[in-house]
Amino acid sequence: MTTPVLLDEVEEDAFKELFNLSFGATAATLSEMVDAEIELSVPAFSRLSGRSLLMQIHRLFGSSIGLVGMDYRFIFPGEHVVPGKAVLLVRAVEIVHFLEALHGASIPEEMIPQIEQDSMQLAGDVLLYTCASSLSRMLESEIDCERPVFFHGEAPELPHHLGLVGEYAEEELLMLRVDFFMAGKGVSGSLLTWMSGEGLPYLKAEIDHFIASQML
Amino acid sequence: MEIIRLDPGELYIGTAPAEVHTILGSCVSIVFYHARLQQGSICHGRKPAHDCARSATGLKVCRELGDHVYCSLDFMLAWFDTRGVPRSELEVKLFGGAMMFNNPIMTGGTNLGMGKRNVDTAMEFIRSKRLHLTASDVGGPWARQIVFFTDTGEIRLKRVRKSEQELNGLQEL
Repeated sequence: MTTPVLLDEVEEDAFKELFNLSFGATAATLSEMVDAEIELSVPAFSRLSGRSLLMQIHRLFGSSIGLVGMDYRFIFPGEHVVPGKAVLLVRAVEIVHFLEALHGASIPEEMIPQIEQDSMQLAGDVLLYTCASSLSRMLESEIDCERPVFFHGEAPELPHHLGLVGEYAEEELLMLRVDFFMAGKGVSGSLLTWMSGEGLPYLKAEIDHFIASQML
Repeated sequence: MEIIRLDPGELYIGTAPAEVHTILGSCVSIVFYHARLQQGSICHGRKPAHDCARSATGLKVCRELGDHVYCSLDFMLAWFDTRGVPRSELEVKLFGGAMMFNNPIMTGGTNLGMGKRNVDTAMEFIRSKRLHLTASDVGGPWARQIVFFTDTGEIRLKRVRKSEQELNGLQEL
């Protein structure tokens, strides 16, 4: 029987700090794009199953959700690959406010379906890539990202969209989450990223490397 | 310090300190900066990509290179590659790609026209080469005035909110 790999308190704090820094770069970009101050929560780290993650999303965002999701792979030294996903989530009712913030104007209702997909996909592309590439840079890994995909729909469709069905619903994930609020725009949301728990040994090694480099 | 005005379809590679000024509408500028060398480059692409036969072994420069986002990025990256700069050390910044959702000239059916296509092309290149995107300001209805300092990598950006008519004129920028 193998002993499960765990992050100790210092490693967990370092990981959250790395995510905080990478989301800082993302928040600065978001702030530019919507011309508003972005307030951020303290990052949270958890180990949970895909099923628990879906329940958490449902609890936070209700049954109607808008999200942009991007698959990525961190490639650590020795060609150790850790797959993951980065997701930008907003409540479906707030998507229109997000679009208005991105376009700097109110949007006629009949135009929303036409521009929703393109605008959210573009914003998600830039924001999620900035976050993931910044995190990978600090972890000294290479990053391989897919093009993000926008989803606007109901909670029951979410497991399929996020690839958390079947055995993947039970897989252990390492999740980081930060919540954000766009001042004066009526939009709040979350940025989540999760990786396969199988990648923890490689992640732990890179976090230890990061901690050692900060002590020099 | 030398001041460079970067017009649409041009790119600039700074090997000595310079201040590069450009104005963007639906065009995009992408900056590559290497902190250790204190050198940077910037392009001003008007269109996404040029469908030409690229060389697998060398670097082909065509007369329309600077107009196209993909070709400009390919050239700038090759310049840093030939100097032995690890791609992981390059900082990449992306600006421009203005769009007007209610402007039939800038919208193209199911997408938001040239601005979005330019940004998509830049992102596709950045993703495929596994580069690190460190800052961006894209989309929206704004024109952007940019000043890039090639020795520090600093960007000064000012948004210019134009009327729709004026923004149409900036589509060529």
